[in-house]
Amino acid sequence: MKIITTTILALLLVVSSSIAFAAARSWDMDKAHSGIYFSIDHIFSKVMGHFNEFTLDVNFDPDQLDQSSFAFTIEVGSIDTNITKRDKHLLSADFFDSGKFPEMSFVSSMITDAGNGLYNVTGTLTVKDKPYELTLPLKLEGVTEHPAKKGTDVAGFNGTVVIDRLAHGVGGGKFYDMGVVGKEVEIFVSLEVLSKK
Amino acid sequence: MNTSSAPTTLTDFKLAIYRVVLSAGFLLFLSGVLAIPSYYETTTLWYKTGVDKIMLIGGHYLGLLGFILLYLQIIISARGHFLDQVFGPAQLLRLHRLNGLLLFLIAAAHILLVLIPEGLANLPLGRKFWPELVGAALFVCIVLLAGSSHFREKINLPYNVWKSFHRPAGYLALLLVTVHVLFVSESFEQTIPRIFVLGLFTLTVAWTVSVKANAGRKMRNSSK
Repeated sequence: MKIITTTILALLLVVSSSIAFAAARSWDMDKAHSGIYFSIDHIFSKVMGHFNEFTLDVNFDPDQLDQSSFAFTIEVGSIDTNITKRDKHLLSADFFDSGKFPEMSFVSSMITDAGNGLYNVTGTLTVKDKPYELTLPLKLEGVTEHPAKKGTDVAGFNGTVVIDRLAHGVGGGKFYDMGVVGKEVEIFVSLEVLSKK
Repeated sequence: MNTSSAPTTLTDFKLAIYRVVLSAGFLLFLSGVLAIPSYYETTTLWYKTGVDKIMLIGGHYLGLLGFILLYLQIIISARGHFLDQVFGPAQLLRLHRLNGLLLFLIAAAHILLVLIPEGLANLPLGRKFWPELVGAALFVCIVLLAGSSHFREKINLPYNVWKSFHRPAGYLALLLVTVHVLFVSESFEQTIPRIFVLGLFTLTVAWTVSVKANAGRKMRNSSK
């Protein structure tokens, strides 16, 4: 009897620990339907842009937030505002200095449930090799079987965050002082991620 | 000297007049072309200040000067009966060589003055910067043209080999500079500068083709 009890307890321990340490569900980015967009003031108008090249590693399970994570790596050189000359200027030392700092990244360290499908993804945003703490609120729009790909689930996230580009070293303030380029950048992240059932 | 009996030869006085008129006309034309960036200003300059702005303006003007000198180079190299008479083949050849070296120096200075304000670490590489890459190919072409001509004897490059690529490479340079200017510069996105460049290209090609056709015809006639 003692042996049976010990065996059951041991099995329970193994099962519970394997549940506790199992990584959250892994997802692959659907690149065609994911984007990192931004808008910034130019005198009176808004200039929109996006980054064409970025990678994303997602492990996400609403029931295992402590095991969930988001990791973005953005190729700065892929910035696209629809005007090549402007892109070139943005890549220069006046803004991103992409020759010296070709990548930006955001790696989550903690995800909390804010209710109503909203998750606060807190992590480290690295711009020009300097780390900054950032919380990106991401709304889980839903999880469903992909209508065009049977046997695969698709999850959608949307989130917006506003950051001060000058506080993150993107530009020295010259164009802000001139009243030409604003300092607050609205970043809009829209993601579709896929995972086999 | 009886000029009426020999329409193909010109008096010294007439030659001097032609030289002055052609040189003055070229300088007038050049100053007109160099006015394009100030009349059709590129917005890139709005966002540059201080030394960067001065360098970029300098780079634009040098680029445009190089553009015109490259066209001049093609016209000089085609020569033709009229230019031969006015300036003489030896002087045209001297001008061609000098202009070739000048083109190399201007192109190098243009590249540096345009790239330094944006940072040499941020070179415009990638598909979306294709007009800049056409400019880079043009520079390689100019270096090969000027270098192989200047050092031909030192590197023991046979004349026939040099000649076989010098002319086609020159025409390629003309094509590359035209494409580069038309697509790299905001000033030349405007209708009038665009028409000007396309017109200049058409006239230069027409001039070169007609000169070469005439020369070919004369050669065939003389061999009969």
